[in-house]
Formats: sequence, structure tokens, C-alpha cells
Amino acid sequence: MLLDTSILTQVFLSGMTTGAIYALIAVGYVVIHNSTGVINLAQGEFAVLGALIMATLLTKSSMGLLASSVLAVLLVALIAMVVERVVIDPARDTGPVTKILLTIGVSIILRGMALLYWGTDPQGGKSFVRGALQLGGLELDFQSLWIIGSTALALAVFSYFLDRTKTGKAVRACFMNPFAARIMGINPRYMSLISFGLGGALGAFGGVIISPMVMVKYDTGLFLGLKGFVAAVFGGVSSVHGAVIGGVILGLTESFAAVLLPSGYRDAITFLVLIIVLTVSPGGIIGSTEVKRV
Amino acid sequence: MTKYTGQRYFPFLVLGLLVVILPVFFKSNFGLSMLTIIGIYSLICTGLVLLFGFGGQVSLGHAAFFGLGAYSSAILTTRYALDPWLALVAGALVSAGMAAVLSIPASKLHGLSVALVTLGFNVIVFILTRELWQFTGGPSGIVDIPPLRIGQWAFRGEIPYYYVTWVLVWLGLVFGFNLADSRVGLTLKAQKSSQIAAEALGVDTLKLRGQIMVLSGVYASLAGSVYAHYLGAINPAAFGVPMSIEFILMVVLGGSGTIWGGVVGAVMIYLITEVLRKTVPWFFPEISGEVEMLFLGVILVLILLFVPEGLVGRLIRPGRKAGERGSFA
Repeated sequence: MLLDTSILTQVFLSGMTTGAIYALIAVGYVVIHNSTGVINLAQGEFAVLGALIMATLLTKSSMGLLASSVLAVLLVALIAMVVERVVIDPARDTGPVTKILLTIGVSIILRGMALLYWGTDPQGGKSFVRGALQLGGLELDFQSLWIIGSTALALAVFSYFLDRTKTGKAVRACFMNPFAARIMGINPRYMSLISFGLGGALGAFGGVIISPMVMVKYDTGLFLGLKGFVAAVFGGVSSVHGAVIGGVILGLTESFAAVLLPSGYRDAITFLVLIIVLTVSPGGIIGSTEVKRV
Repeated sequence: MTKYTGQRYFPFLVLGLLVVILPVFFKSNFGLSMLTIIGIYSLICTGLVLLFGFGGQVSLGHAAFFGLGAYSSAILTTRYALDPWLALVAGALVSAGMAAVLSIPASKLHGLSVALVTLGFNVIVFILTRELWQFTGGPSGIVDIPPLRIGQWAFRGEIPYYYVTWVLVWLGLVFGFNLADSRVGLTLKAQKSSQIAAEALGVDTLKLRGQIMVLSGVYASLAGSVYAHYLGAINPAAFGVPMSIEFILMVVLGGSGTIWGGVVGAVMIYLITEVLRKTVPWFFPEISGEVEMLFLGVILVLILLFVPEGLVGRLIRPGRKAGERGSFA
């Protein structure tokens, strides 16, 4: 048989690994969309900047792996907050289409800046872990396990923040009912700023942890961002848990599709899924905005 | 509609005269080829203006229709020796069909989802042009596409393509202009400002949105067919998502509230890009990629923030505020 257990395990593991990255980016979409109504198509650029900044800190400074990763995530969160102040906040009264076009503009600008600074060469990161786990004849790559594990941890921390802390609850309140939130003394503009910081940090974290596996360069963000978006749509765009499940499903689908089809078609499948999901069950975005428009 | 016919069509007369006499001033092949490419972009952008400005929908995937036209023409003429004009019509039919299929989900949905469906469609078409190499030649594309011809007279050189392109642009503009003032155009405007009110008055908004999507796709497809025959060789690179974004940039810059926005935006972005391509390497000699996109991104953001009605919109009615009709927000 062509597909024995060890190959299936590999395919499953690699699907879970890419799924973890998509989930991180998708959750970034969700948190920004939930508190501001903006579909931030620059989300993939945040991931790329995280990876590129970490690679540079590693090679050009004496910082260790952990320190440069943390600093990269914080720097990208800062960049995302600057973007929110300079571009998104002034346009807070415009329609959703203007906002999505603005984020496209931002993504082009960030990509151009990355090109200016890093050029067209890919920058590889350093592996956090090496080797593989032998488990009853199956070989489990530590790298993949590490990515899946740290993503799960990051998402758990993030969920805790959103569900249990006062700031997290305020972010959610802004989405549920911006007017009521304002009456309760929550400043939506401040929440918008926070959610961009969070979205940037999540994306950058995703970029940092994949950098040892994927050669990241200035234009990697376009497709990474779009796929994270597909994952978010898969999960209904407004749900953090949905986005995580969407990311995992998308990662696994791509991974298994690559076994059955020539690898070049992989992305075509992803976007076919997007069109089908948007057609059959336009839950998330559409439901909420349409209700508001009436 | 209060103006009398002559006055209303005066701008089209001016454009027509310009089209006829411009080759006198642009004698070089370089100048003419520039005008032809601008014309091709103008045609696509005019279709986009109809979709945005009158249909209220945004397509982030118009390069896909551009590509469908180009590849239909290229494949049908090189493999099946079809007459180029028939191939052009066939390409338009393929694009119309795809636009109609896409508009089934798109017309039901909110404007934002239309943007995302068309974006996904663009990615799929791009991948198919790259992967179905038996038909499309893969990444290196299709070469030796025969020229357009009338009888035994094959179009060679710059002049015939220049005129074919700009006649199409002119017709596209006049058609779009008349459409905007027709019953269809008025109902389109009505459904844009309030879908519910329009439906209550008996307008079939879904069908209308589908039709404008088809029309817009056909504009881009025709542009693609002419492009394929004009260049004689095509490859997937010209039909990806970044190209669609560039079309969006043109329409945003020109303004989607008037039929002229597409042409003006195409002219300006083409010229700006050319200037940047020449000058950027002076400042950043060590960078090989397309740094000009950084500047295009800045232009997109600045226009959306400060001149949301676009340059033509600002010229026609100065002082309109963001979010009013004219910007497609």
C-alpha cells in the first residue's frame, strides 16, 4: 500500500504544523475584525516581519534565540499599533470596503519596506529544537511538535486574556455592541489600538516559529495572509475557536491534498474552499454586517 | 439629464479627437506602445468603475478576467487556428460565463464578500494558468500568438493595435455612460444606496448585480484578448493578484464615481510607475526587486484617506466629503 502509517503520520504532522501557523494568523484576523470590523489584509505581513526581524536580531546582535524572538514579536506589535494610529484610526468612519483597501495599501507598504531593508533573499531562522521522537516505530519531528505545542500555549494564553481579563472583555464588548460599550466607559478607539497590537503580536509569533522551516522573504506574507484569512472564514470570522479549528482543517486539507494532487494545485484547493464556504455558509462577516446595515 | 445631447457627449468628442491625433505627436514605437498599454488598462478600469461606482461592488480579482481573455485568445488561435476575432468573442463568452457563475455567490453577499470571492477566483485562475501547462505552457506561457487580421491584412506594428484598443476604450466609455443614465443605471444607483428600498420598488437587485459583474468581466476579457495579440506572447505573471490590486489602485486614484475615473487613473498610475522604475534605482541601486510598489502603496493609502472620491471626482465636484456617493465606501 502506498500510504502506510509512517507516511500518514508525516502528512498529518506537517498538516498540523502548517495548520498551527494558519490558526495564529487567523486568530489575528478575528481579534482585529471583532473589535474594529476591519478585515486586515496586512496580517500576513506581520508574520513575515516577525520572522525577518528575528533573523536579523539573531545574526546582527548578540541576543539569544529566545530574546530575539520576544523582541521581534514586541516590535511587530508596535508596528501594528503605529499602523492602526496612522491609517486605520483616521478612517474609522468609512465603510468596510475603504478599510479593506487601506489594509491592502498597508500590506504593500510593509512589503516594500521589507524589500528595501532585506532585499529579495530569504532569511532563515535558527531551529529551536532538533531531532525526532521515536514512538513505536513512528518518527515524530521535534520541530513540528514544538510548533504545535507553542501555538497551543500561545492560543491558550490569548483565550485566557480575552475571556478572563478586564481588557479582554472590553475588546469583546466593543464588537458585540460598540454603542453600549461606549456607554459603559470603554473607549473603542483604544480597544482598536489594542486589538491591532494583539493581531500584530500573534502574526509575528507565527512568523517567528515557522522561520526555521520556511525560508521567509519579503513577499511571503501575501499568500500566508490570504490563507490565514481563509482559515478565519472557515471558522466564521468572529470566533477565536472557530479560527483555530479552521486553521487546523485548512492545514490538514492542504497536506493531504498535496499527497493526492501535484503540489502546485495546493493553493488552488485552498481558495476553492474559500469560495465554497463564502457561498454556502456566509456566516461570520456577512451575518454581522448585514444585521448592522438594516 | 438636463443638458442637451451635444453638451453631454462633448467629453467623448474630445477624447475621440485626441485618440485620432495623438499618434501624430507620439511617432516613436515606444510612445505608441505606451499609449496602447494604457488603453488596455483603461478598458479594464472602466469595467471596474462600472462595477464599483454603479454596481457598488469591489472586485479584487479583475486580472483573472484579463487573463481569461488573453489565454482564451492565445490558446484558440495557436492550437486550434481559430480566427482571432472569433477567439476574442469566445474569450469574452468564457469570461462572461465565469463572471455569471461567480456572481451567483457574489450577488447574494455583502460587498466585502464579493471582494474576497473575486480574490479567491484570481488566485485559482493564476494557479491554473501556471499548472495546466499542457494548455497554457506553464510559467513560460504561450508564444507566437498570431496578430489580429482583417481578411488578408494582418495587424503589424503599433498603429493598428493603438486604434483597436482606443476604439474599444471609447466604445466602452460611451456604453458605460449611457448605461449609467438609462433605466438600468438608475436602478443600479438605487440598489447601491439602499438594496432594501430598491427591492421594495420591484428591482431584482441580485440579477442586476450579476449583470454588471458580467459586463465588467467582459471589458477586462476584451482587453486581455487585444493584449495577447498585441504582444504575441503571454505568461501568468501579468494576471496575478498584484495586477488586480494595481487596477484597484488606478480606479481609486481616478475615482469610481464617474465613468472617466478608470481612464484617468490608468494614465496616471502607468506614468507614475514608469517614472518610479526609472528613478528608484538611482536612489537604491543595490535593490533588484520592484521597490516602486512601496510608493504605490503610499499613494493608495493617501488617496483613500484624503481624496476618497478620486481625482476626477474631486475635479468635478470639489469639496465632497468622504463617504458620500462617489467614493465606493
